[in-house]
Amino acid sequence: MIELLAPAGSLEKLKIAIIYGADAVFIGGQDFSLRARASNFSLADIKEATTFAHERGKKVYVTTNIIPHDEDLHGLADYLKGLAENGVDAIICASPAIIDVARTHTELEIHLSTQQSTLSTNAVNFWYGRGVKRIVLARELDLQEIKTVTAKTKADIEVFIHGGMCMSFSGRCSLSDNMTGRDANRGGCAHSCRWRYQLKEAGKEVSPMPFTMSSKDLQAIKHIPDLIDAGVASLKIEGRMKSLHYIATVVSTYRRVIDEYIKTGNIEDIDAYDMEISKAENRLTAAGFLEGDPGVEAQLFDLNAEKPSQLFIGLVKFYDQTTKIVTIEQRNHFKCGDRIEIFNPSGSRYEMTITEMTDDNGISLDVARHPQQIINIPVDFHCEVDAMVRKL
Amino acid sequence: MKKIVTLHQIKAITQLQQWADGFIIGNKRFGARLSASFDPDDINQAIAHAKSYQKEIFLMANRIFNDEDCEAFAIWLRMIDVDGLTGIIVADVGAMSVLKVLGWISKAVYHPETLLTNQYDANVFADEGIYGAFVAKEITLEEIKHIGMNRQLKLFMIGHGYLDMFYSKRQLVKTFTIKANVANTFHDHKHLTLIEAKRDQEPYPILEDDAGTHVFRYNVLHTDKHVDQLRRAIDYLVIDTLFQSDAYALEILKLYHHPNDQLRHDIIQKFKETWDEGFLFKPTVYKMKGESHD
Repeated sequence: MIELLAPAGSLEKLKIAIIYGADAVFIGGQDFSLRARASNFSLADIKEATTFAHERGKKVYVTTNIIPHDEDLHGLADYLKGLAENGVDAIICASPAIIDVARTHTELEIHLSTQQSTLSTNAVNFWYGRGVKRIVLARELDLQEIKTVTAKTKADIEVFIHGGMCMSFSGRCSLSDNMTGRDANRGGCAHSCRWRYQLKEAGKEVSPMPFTMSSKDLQAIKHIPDLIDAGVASLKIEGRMKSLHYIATVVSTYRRVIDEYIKTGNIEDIDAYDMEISKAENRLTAAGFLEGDPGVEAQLFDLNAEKPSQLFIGLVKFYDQTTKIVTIEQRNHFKCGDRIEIFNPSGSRYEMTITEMTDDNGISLDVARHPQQIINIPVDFHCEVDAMVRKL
Repeated sequence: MKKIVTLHQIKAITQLQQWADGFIIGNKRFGARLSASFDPDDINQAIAHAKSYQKEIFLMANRIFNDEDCEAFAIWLRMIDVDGLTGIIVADVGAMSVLKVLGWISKAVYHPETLLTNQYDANVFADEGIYGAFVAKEITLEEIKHIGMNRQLKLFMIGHGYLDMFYSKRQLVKTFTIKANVANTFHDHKHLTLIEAKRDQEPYPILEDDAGTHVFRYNVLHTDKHVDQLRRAIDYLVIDTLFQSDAYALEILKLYHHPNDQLRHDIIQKFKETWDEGFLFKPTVYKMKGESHD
């Protein structure tokens, strides 16, 4: 069965990812991990995460994907042993030093990070021969190349299907190091590729249009059947720093696409899934390299061209089937008269207009102003715990 | 420590061999950021020419290979006098595997740009029988020396030249010109720069070649003041003259042969360059928890 792999920057996001249909979640520990801004997990958090996941038959992978300098390697063996003791199912690595220490000191399954920019069957099999069970392919491969590599290896193949994309080969970029001193391969990427530049020829401006090295985000809904048929082991969503709503929406949508294709051999209405996933996206999307070398359409030239996503206003904590009152934890300002959509983890959805609401003391309110305020709303629809509430 | 230099013209070997221990040449089908692209006949001629002076030749094949590249490389190498090469510089383990299958793993020089930042990773493929490896460009002199003192293979470093800091497979200049609706006359063009508003005194060279798009540091890396220290750690110091010429290479080779302030000053003035020492004394910062990096 193909795996849907989701990112999580916190325990809450991890739980939501699993509740909304992820088969596995990848997280960052407090050491040896990229994405310094993602709220990385302590060992106690990791224990809670693996317990939660394993109780539901799901897996947790921990990123240890820095390119370390010698000074960074102190404590590595103990750290990896700690991950193993706390039930982590696999680590995602880019450095042979980390791979070999993990193999020597633990039984942890090892996945090779996309930071190694693995493009060929040769490269995949090289790493497999050195004890790596799964290879995360570089994003610079098209569908046919992915099929070919997958067919020619015993390694499990993981492919990115959604989220932000490095414009450079991953792991080979030092823009951030050079322009800000922050080491991109040790968690400090300043995303200098997404800044505005001016292109000049021999000192003369080529065009007044700003030059950018920014890609549209990857979105691969329509390619999921091909990737399943190719025998890919895992489909990966990027974005450990994304919101709860984003995680829930993206995971849920891909879950339903995968399940429909496996069950029926067909996707009846791709457009509906595209529409659904777009509710959580605030960046423009494209197919990356999946359809061949990306052209103009895959690049983000106007960095202000972000599109508004639907506003996440609350998380369902409880639904009383007798009174038909839903209890919501507020996440963004909303008020009576707002048109909302309730989006259950099981995938069912319901649109309505808020006509009345009360706080947890039963006091009638016109507006839900306060973060994490508890709000009660009458809803004639079975709301599931952890359902998302969006403003339409 | 041997000094090897990228080559713009085969005939320059005659003059440069007085100061260089070897040369780096390549073909654009398999190499990226090349000073020039040479056909197999030219490469074989260069090998013979260099050998007549007892000099070494390295083949630059530093694209990151997909399956098609691996297959084509194996076929293309049949046209090359590989036995005459000292090494073949590859950027990924897929290309390295091609050399292993062909029985030339002892020629492989692993050059994954940013990835060899510690002693273990720099040496890890010694057990595969490769010839050498490049340390990352983004580490300090002390780190280079530490790796070098513990090396189990020939250690290479880029000692002089414009260092690339971005390598995309995408043809970004081409897509830009399409979007901007201007004529695209810029492929393989070596006079393009990028200006970032807050760093407008630092135009970054940008090059789009068949391998993709590359952006380079503004300052030229120079390490001539530290040759004595590097000699104990490094086997091959690479002088990359991508945006210059063989005449420039000659001047630089003389400098590294006998480093001195006057010659350094004269070269900088003559070629209108700005030099610095890269990351030799400027360690990059490990992650900064809680800071915004956008």
